[in-house]
Amino acid sequence: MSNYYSGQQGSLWFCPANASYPVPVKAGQVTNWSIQVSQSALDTTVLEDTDTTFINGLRTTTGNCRLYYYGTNSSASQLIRTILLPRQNSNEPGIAASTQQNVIFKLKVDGAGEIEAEALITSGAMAMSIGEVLAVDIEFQVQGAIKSVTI
Amino acid sequence: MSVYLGDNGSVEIRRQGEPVEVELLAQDVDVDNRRFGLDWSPGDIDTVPSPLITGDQVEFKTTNGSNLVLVSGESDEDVTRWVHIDSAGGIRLYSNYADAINGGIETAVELSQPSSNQTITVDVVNVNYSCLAQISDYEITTNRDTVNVTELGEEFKRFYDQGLISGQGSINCIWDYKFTACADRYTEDAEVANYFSQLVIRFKEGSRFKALLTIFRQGAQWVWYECDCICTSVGMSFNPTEVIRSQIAFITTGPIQLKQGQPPGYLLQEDGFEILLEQPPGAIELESSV
Repeated sequence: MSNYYSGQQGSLWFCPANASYPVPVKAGQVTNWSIQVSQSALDTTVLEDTDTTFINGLRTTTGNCRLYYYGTNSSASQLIRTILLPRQNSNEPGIAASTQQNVIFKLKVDGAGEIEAEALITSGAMAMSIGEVLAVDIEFQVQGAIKSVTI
Repeated sequence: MSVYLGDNGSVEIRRQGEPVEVELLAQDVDVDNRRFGLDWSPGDIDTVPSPLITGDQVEFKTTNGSNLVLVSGESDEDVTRWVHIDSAGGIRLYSNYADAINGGIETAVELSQPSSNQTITVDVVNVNYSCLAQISDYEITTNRDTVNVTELGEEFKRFYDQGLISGQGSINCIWDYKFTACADRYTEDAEVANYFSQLVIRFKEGSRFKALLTIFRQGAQWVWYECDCICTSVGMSFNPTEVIRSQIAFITTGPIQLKQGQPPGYLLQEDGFEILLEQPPGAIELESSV
């Protein structure tokens, strides 16, 4: 059955990739998510060719999402704390107390399908400004190929 | 339940400004003519208009705490008087608002001749509210910003309910420029529409004023908005068959309060003047309850 979809049908699920049972749970206060896949093309064009030829190169998948901050137990807080890591002790500013863990994201469209991928959070940003709700912007890069696609 | 008409509405304003530092040159004080000048843009070839408006209650104060030599008989570091600005930007000082509006040398305050230049701050510190005369109507709108916090998966929009509060409004009056005492329900001096025409183009001191926008008034029972405002535009139209009207638009800045009771009153001296605060602007207010 064909249908149109909008933000009403969207949701974001996530969990730590190193968990014993990595089952993503639904994130709250999500305002948007997006995912981009790019495929590099390796040029194989040679002399006397009249048109460019290429072979498949590497594929890169990245994405981002935005969540309103809703306290220290909120999804926004959990996600930004995967990259916002404190130092181990005050004498060693160059060493964080823990290593950054990958996250499994499930980008879901109700009634259509989902995309599941293990990703490294490459950027986390939060800015407080007048007239706006505090939000966390997360950017991530997918580790290898995405795990599953049913969309 | 009752219904109320707009005939009890009124607008009162208190002039405000920002302190401006300027050099008072000894040679610019003309004691004989009770008049002095200030160079508002030293070094500039183009002269700029005075930021003061006739009728402003202005504090002149030395920046280094030394005694200000300007007004005869005054030896403090500051002096507060009403000003009249002539077409050349010259300043005369007066002891009350009405005299300042009317101008003239006879009622002007006598000046002292300074022996040297003085660096002073000039600040509009009006204490009193004055009623705005000849208003035909006014309106004020208060707004609250909303921030869309709808999340993925939701079917109804949700908004953050503590967005910023702002207000704006407009006043329509019949244009006038001459001083008139309020002789009806008010015992105050009157501001006229021309003040806003000057305010919106005022140099350096900005176009801020404090407003009491009265919705209802009966005896000691008043309901009014109180807010700081910035005049953003003044429009006038001219037609041979119609009176000249001013359309004054303003926005609010800072808190907007909707109050009920009696508006501010001041403790007065025997001569009828308020007792000014050491830190202007303002005077000792009376507290009252209804």
